[in-house]
Amino acid sequence: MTLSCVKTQLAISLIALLGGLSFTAMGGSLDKAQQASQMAQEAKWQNRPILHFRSAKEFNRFVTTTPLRRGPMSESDLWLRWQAALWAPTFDQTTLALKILNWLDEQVQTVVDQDQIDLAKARVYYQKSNLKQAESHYRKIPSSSDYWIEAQEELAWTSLRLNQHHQTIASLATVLAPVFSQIIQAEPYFLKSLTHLQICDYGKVFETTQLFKENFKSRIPALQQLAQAGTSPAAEKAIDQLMVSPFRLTSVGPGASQLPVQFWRDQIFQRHILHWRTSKSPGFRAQAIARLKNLAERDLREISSIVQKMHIVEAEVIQRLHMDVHLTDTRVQQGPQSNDKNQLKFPYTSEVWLDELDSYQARVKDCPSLRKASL
Amino acid sequence: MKLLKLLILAAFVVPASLSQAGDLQNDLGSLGGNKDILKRARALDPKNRLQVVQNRLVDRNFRLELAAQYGSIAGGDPYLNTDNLGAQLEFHINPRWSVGARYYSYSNSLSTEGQRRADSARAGREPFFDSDSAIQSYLGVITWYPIYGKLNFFDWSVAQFDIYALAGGGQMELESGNTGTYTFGAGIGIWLSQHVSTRFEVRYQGYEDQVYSDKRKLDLTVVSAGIGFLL
Repeated sequence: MTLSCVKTQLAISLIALLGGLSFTAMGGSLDKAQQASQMAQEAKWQNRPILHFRSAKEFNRFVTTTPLRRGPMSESDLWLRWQAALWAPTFDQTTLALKILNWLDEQVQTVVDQDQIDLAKARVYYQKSNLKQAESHYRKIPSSSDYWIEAQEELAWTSLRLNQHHQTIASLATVLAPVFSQIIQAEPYFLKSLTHLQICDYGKVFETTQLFKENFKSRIPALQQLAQAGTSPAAEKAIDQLMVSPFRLTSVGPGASQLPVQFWRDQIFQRHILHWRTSKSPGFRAQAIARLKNLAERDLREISSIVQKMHIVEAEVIQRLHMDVHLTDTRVQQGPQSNDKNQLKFPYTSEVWLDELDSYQARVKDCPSLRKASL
Repeated sequence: MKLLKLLILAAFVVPASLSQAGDLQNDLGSLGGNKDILKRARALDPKNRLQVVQNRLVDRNFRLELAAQYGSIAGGDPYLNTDNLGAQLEFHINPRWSVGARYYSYSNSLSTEGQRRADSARAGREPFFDSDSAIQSYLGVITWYPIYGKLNFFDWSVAQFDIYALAGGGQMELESGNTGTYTFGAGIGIWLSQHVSTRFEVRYQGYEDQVYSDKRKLDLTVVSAGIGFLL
């Protein structure tokens, strides 16, 4: 078993264990009855259309046909309004998006999870630069949610924009915990290196770079094989597993580290699998494989973009080091310094305790303005 | 002809895609490649620190704890084996301090030497020995919890604990009558849930008993384990 497979297996075991403990649960282990119930729920999804709008005009026309009303609505009506809420920010109609999401909040429905609504609201507020509201909505997503890790990452970005570097680092300590390293995207690494650059912690910039290299060293070849050959053993196995299991990380197993990030949540991929489950037609299976290939290509493009950005960060660090910057001691400290008897403090080490995720706090110093710089 | 065109196109595309693949790997590998810069960056320590900060899982502010204990006693009267069953009422003022009251009921039996002496005395070979068994005691204690930590139970659960020191005094009822007693010791309290706790304790207890007509100072080492319920 390769090291990345071991790490993913550890992630899955940890996630399954955390699900049982209710500390954090991202797709905990399910028994057969729960699996069957989950798959029955998933079967309903295949009738839900995935909408695409090529222009604001097309979108506006759609919105006029799906007004918000009081009273009970069918699942398909709720779904269409949810799609409208997701597309509105793309056309900069954030007020409309919030209106629909608030309306969805008031409905008694099972079409859209509350976590999805909170996450969508947080993203709309982020787009509006209402960062405090965005932060509060990201924090609403519990650690048991499938969207928790994404929320943590986006919360880190929000904290960075609020100049709360200590909060950014604390959030990223959770996101980049070793147990999640094989199932997160490349962007958190860039965010971490950028944050460390902003607080002039140059050593940590390079540490982050090293971590990024280690974690993606084996993932990139696996994605490249999938992107070029159109399939891979891990892809074939994952698809066969998802034929008989619900769309969760625990269904996919350690092979997830060799496949596009969180591919089981891609709606187009899900539709192909759902059609295959009902019709058993191998054509849908082939389409699912083809979708995995597309997702692998997307992931590789993103990784390439992040690598370029990290080169830029590194270049900035090198320039600052060469410019003989005088770092004075008059740096403002960020971060809480409470002495509450009800709080326990433990050192941060590479060993991950399952109850420590999302409990990190950082004390950082602001980067001073460049004074007495000389070439 | 069409096939030839496809082959020519593939001849350009495949190496291009392979070279893109190779480029990404090379780009990744070149990150952090300058060892001198790396060394220089590491030498700067801005003293930023990351730590784990967690709330206590079990709130121990102004809470009562009722516990039962079993203790085994070493030292004391050499002719007796003594153990005790205890009940404890502890009032937690905050996670660092608590005050409590304890009651112990003692049970005594002859030790090996005591049995030998008794048998020998019955046989007339030696005089009978005198002992002053403990019957029960009442103690007031104050406890300080300066050290905390947590335990990983075989990756199944995590429980927080506190190591504590205690000191106190009270009254002990002996066969000969009442006498004062004092105690001090240390232990570990593991907070299993919001309402369940467990303690392991080692303490010293001293008192004076009366053998024949002489007063005698006894030093006991009490090792006890208990389970408690937090109200």
